[in-house]
Amino acid sequence: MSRSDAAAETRIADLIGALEPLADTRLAPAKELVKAVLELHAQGLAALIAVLPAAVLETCLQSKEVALLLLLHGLHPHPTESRVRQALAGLRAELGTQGARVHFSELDDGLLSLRLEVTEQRNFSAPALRSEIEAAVLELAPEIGSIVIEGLPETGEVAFVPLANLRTSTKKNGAEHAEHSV
Amino acid sequence: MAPNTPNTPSEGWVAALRRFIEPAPNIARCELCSLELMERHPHLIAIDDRRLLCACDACALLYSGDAQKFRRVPRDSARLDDFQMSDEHWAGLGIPVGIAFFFKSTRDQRVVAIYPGAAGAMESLLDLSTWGVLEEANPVLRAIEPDVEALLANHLDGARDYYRMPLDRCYALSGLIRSTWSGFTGGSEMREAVAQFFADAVPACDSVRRVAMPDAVEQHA
Repeated sequence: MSRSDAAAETRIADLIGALEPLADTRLAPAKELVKAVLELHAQGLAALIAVLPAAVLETCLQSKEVALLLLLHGLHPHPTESRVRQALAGLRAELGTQGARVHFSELDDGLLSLRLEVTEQRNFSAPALRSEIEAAVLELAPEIGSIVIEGLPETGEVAFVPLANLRTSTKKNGAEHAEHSV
Repeated sequence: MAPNTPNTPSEGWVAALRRFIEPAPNIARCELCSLELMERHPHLIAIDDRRLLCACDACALLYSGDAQKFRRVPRDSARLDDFQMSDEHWAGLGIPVGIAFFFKSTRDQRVVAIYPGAAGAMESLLDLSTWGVLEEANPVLRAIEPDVEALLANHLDGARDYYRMPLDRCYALSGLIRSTWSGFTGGSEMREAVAQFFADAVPACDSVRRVAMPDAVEQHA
């Protein structure tokens, strides 16, 4: 996919990624400009939303572009936490096949804490699992600044050893691990 | 959409945009215990290398004192209205610019003179005897605490002002002069900044650390 075809939110993230390392003080007026334009739009949109019947707004939210626009301006009618929970619910089936479940713990000023529960002993990659959870959550709640997933090792494989297996299990890896599951 | 690779911190695009246009203020941390600091916090000077450190109250208490590696920088400054220094004496110090500060260094057993300019702070060591003459005429200098307080002299554009000034603020002034200096003699922006400095209360810690400190450390080597 060429850059111009990329989703708007991906392009915004990419452009910020390109600008941020410049650390140039001359960027300050450009930042102010972006901020001023965003504020103008946010105020106008907020006024529009205020007079829109809730049901109409819900219908509008069916459009991904409208949802993104409201997310951009912090005007999405669904609170961050409920969108996070919705994302986690959407992950349930997929994580279930990997023997894991993820729970909402806390949302504090853009910092989201989740808790991973390993329900079955499987051999899955922690980084892949982290990406999957993050992508799902950030798609519905892009205003989140940081995600901590408790119970998920930072690197490598998820090495879950049920208590009952502590005496018998010596192998760390391998699909045969499942035979120790309780 | 998966904007994050597993090794980058997770951040949504809206959060990234907000952070980009409105960067969070830098939070200073205690350089001894890493505790988050309030905007106003103590500064310490390491006697050995004359490094300036931000510290929390507890560390400032614990690690500063006569027998310690660090000394705490006092907060108060004072204008020394009846300070006596002839222009001949000033000329004898060999300071080529209008602003300089002087402090006693325990480690060097000398008086260190620092004069800010376009290229940062320059440093020279004064004989203690030279200082002795000044001290003779101005007993107030004996009360200036070694390593952490300085005599700050402003001879810029005909001024003859003298201050007893904490060293962190002296370094802040030095950084201010460097960052606003233009042309051969400093320019009007620098003069305005200096006038503002003398008119203002304590400058923000930020300017001390970002601009001034490297000068002092570089010059020391």
